[in-house]
Amino acid sequence: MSIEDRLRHALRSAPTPTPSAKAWAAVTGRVGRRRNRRWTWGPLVLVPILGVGGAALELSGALTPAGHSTQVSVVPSPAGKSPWPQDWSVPSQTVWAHGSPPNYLAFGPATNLTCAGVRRTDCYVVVQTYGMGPKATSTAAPAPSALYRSTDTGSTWRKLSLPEGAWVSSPLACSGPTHCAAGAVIGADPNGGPGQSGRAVLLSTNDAGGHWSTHVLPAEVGLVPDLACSSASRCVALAWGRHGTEIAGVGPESGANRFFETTVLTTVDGGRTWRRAHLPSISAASEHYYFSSVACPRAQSCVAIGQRATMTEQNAGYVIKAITHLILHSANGGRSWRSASSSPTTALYGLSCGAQQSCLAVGQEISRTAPSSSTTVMASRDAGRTWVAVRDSSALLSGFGSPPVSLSCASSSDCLVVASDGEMAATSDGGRDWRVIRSLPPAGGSSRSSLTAVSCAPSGKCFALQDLYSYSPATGSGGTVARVISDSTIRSASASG
Amino acid sequence: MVGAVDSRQDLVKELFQNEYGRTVRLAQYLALEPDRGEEIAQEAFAVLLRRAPGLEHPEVAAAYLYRVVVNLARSSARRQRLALRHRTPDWAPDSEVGDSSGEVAERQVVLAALARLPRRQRECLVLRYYLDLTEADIAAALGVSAGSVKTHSSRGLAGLGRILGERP
Repeated sequence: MSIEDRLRHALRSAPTPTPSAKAWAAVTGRVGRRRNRRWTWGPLVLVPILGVGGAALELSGALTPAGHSTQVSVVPSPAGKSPWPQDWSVPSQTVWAHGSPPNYLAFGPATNLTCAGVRRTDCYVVVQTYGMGPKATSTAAPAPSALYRSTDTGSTWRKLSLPEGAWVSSPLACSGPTHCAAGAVIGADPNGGPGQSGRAVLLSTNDAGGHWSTHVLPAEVGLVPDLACSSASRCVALAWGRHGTEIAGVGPESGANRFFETTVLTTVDGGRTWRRAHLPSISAASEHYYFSSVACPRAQSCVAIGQRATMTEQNAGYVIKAITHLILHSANGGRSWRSASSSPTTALYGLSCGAQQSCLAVGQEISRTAPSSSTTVMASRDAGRTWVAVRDSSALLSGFGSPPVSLSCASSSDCLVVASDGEMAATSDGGRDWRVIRSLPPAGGSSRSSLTAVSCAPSGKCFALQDLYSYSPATGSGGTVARVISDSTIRSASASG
Repeated sequence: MVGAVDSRQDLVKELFQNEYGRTVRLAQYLALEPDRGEEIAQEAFAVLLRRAPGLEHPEVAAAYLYRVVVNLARSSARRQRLALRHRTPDWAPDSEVGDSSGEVAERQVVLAALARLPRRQRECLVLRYYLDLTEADIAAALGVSAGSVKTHSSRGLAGLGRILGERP
């Protein structure tokens, strides 16, 4: 059988879903949600805001509803031992829009949020874009990231300048009021995507984002998904390999299922030189490390979460034989690592270290076949050296429909966790009891929404990013928009959602 | 005006009845995210209901539908890649074809190979061999020239052959 025939047969052999009345109702429901909206001027550009009792006003012209929008919502900090509030308290200004000139494609969610800086209300958001360019061409290249900073609890946002062509791959790691660093890729190939081509670099600033220095990472590094800095000169970076390992036999999504083997790099001179850290020894032929998050609650004490996978080669790729979930700890600033005292039973997605050497990590195992999921909450009181499993007595996290994607702690006991399907939960006792603060519905004409990140500022106020997915077909244009929404807007969205 | 809206809704509904199933599959193949196939397809039809131009011609509507699905799927695939960098990849087999027959294994091997191709090549091959679109229709759906479609299709088939030929 020829390649064409094999491909045709593979694509057509599965039965197609039936067009049901329920599916049609879902289609018309999406249309209805978009009608109820009005427009307003933001500091940077016109963006749609959910209508709150007002008539819809359509404006024609260059600007159209954008491809992605991101809401930044502010969650008030708990006062003393009082529980987290039930609702979001937010200013009411539009904050930014990105990449929506006519005839341009610019998609991508904002996923990186870091609240730290000169003032106690500083926050940085990195907006990711992919494939920006004239829509009539096929030469769209990965677009540079956009970095925004707010110094007034999210009321206003200002775009900062990054080095030319930088695609930021990690949240910002800030070690002080003016120093922050981030992993980035410069010069990525249009088809290869960031991390598979281009050059991985460390960006650093010593004036709160006003100016950035670029330091090249070793050539074998594809990208840095996370890093932690204990000072302007000392940083620990997770470094993913350039291509990852293809995992075979998992259907049409397998192209995205790459296992990114991770190394850990350290620098003591602000990124000019790097050393590869010593990890617990493994069988190099079949075992591989993968890490997703790192934190350094003290200068010499760092912690990383991830997995160790055992793989074997089979047919067109590799097959995972076994996965061991890990927490690693370093007592010498990241130069060497050991397994922590207790191992998690599920994959961990969120790691946050706050005051008094306390750290919390959360995870959840989602199974396609099993109706239930299991949750892991791990806590450390000694800067990540020893960990204990915390019983999630509320079982709330297990009820999340999707794994937690981001965790941030405002204190040693007050933490927020967000899940990609829009749910958000809080604990005030270090992870034993959780409750939902808010489950935000899609808004702003979007078909779906997801919470992509949460970060607590030194003030104790926490910010969350909500990515709103929509697409404007009229011009083919899209963009990333972020805004702060008002209480009434959220309530309205809740009522209509 | 009301009549125009009703006419558009009737046309889109007819398109929905005829094309929904294939649109879901198309979205799955392009987005690398099987779980979101229905969501993307529904959003694409909603886009047509909202403001798509030229809807008085069914063939234009179908072409526009494919273009919207391509764009939505691209965005989804990018999000999926980004999301997978921050969580454990889901290595569970595709539940929709979850038996152990040789045919299913063959399908999974071919689709896995397809997913390894660069995005543009994958799009050309899916539109050509799943929807049977002509080069001109594929060019319209992707917003590229017909020559570019030919080049990407040719390279895609060659790449697919190389990947599948690697099997022992």
